[in-house]
This record gives sequence, structure tokens and C-alpha cells, in this order.
Amino acid sequence: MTAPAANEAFTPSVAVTLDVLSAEIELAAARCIRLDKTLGEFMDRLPTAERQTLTESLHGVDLLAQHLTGLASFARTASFTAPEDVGAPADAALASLTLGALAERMAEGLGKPVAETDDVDPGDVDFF
Amino acid sequence: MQFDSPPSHRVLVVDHDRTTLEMAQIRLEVAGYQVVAVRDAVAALAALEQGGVDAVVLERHLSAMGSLQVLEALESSLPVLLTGRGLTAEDAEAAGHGVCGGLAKPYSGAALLDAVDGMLAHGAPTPTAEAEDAWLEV
Repeated sequence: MTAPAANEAFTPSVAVTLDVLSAEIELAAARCIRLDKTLGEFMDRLPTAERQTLTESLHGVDLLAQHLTGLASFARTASFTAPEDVGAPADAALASLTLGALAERMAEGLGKPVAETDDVDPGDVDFF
Repeated sequence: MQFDSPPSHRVLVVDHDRTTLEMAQIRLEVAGYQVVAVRDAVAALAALEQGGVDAVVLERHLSAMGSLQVLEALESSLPVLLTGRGLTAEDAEAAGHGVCGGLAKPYSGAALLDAVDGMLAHGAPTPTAEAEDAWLEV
């Protein structure tokens, strides 16, 4: 297999793009579910009077987890019916990601050659 | 949202894809499983050698030393859930080596939990309606 030329557009199939998108949304949902559990455990240690505020927040986190799970399901189902032989340029979309770890994971999942991902601005905040 | 009491089983998850690996680890841990998450076959074999693993979730396309070597090392001693993009029931059945089901990627956290719960309870995944699209029976 030969590496694509540097100026050649990176065009993964629509199906793979939806797969990767679905997996990322599913991960976001999983993180949300873990947050929900952590907040639930924390609430048990709060005085009764202070639980109401956290209960409302917990409800919001629960809804967010369901929202993300629904979106992941949509993308996953769409990917099963999407054409494998139709590609969509992904360079601009990847470059728009401001979170470095997310950009790297998605580029890897989409099958972008590693050397080319070096151009992606990590976008992470350096605290030290 | 309800969370299960700890099943106290240890599950080895092997997947080169970081997104899928982290998602699987979080969902299984929140459900109470102990999880060993690794990205390649070498690390998987090392984890198996340490012992204490009750079930394996294995991506079929691992780089370098692949999933077949992991399956051969297991010698059908543990239940295995095979995963992979485009995985079919025939693929999972042909794998042998203790493979008792498969999940086609991308799969949901709910489908994974249903499959692992079923695999550990009955020796084979028992999917809910939500998980049926991704679950492949051997």
C-alpha cells in the first residue's frame, strides 16, 4: 500500500465516518453515565436539605446521557446503511476539532495516516 | 438512572481502537465489573497469564500478533465475545476457541453490557431487543 500524496484529500467512506462519529458519541455518553453515578454517590453524603439542588442536576445529566445515547444510535444505524464506496473529504472536519485527543482518536479511527495527523493543532490548554 | 450492584467478574477487553476501548471500560466498570483494558495481543496475553479473568471481549482485527493468537492461548478456557466491523455470525462461529457470540462494530454500551452479562450468566450472550441489531449468535 502506498501512502497518499501530501496534497491528496483524505476521503474516508461515509459509512466509516458515521462509525467513528457514533463511537465517539457513545464514549461521550459513557462518560456522562459515569458522571451520573459519581454524582449519585456524592449525593448520599449530602444533608437532606442540600440534595434537591443536586437532584435537579442529576436529572439533567441523566437526560444528557439519554440524548447522547440516542444520537449515537442514530449515527450507528445510519452507518449500517451508508454506502461503503462513497467518500467524503474529512480534512476540514478534523481540523475543526479543537480538542487534540479527540482529533487524534478520530483521525486514527478514520484511517488517516499517522504522519499527516501531525498537522492537527492539538488545541489543548497547557496549564503548566 | 439505575446502576447494578457489582457482578465481581473480571473482564479483559482487547481493542486497538481507543474510543471503543474507553467506552467499553467505562460502561463495564459502571455496571460493577472489574476491567482490564488493553490495546494489543501482547498485552492481552500478559493479562491472561496473570490470571483472574472471567471473560474476554476481543476485537478480531488486532495488529501485529493478532486475535487468533489470543484465542489459541485461551484454549477455549474462557467465554469470548468477538467484536469487529462487519462481523457476521458466520465469522464468530468460524472463530471457535470459546467464542460464544459477536458484536458488530460500532456497538452501543447497552449492547455490550447485555452481551457480557449474558455470556457470564449463561455462557452465551442473551441480547435485549435494543442490542439485537449488533449481536451475532454462534
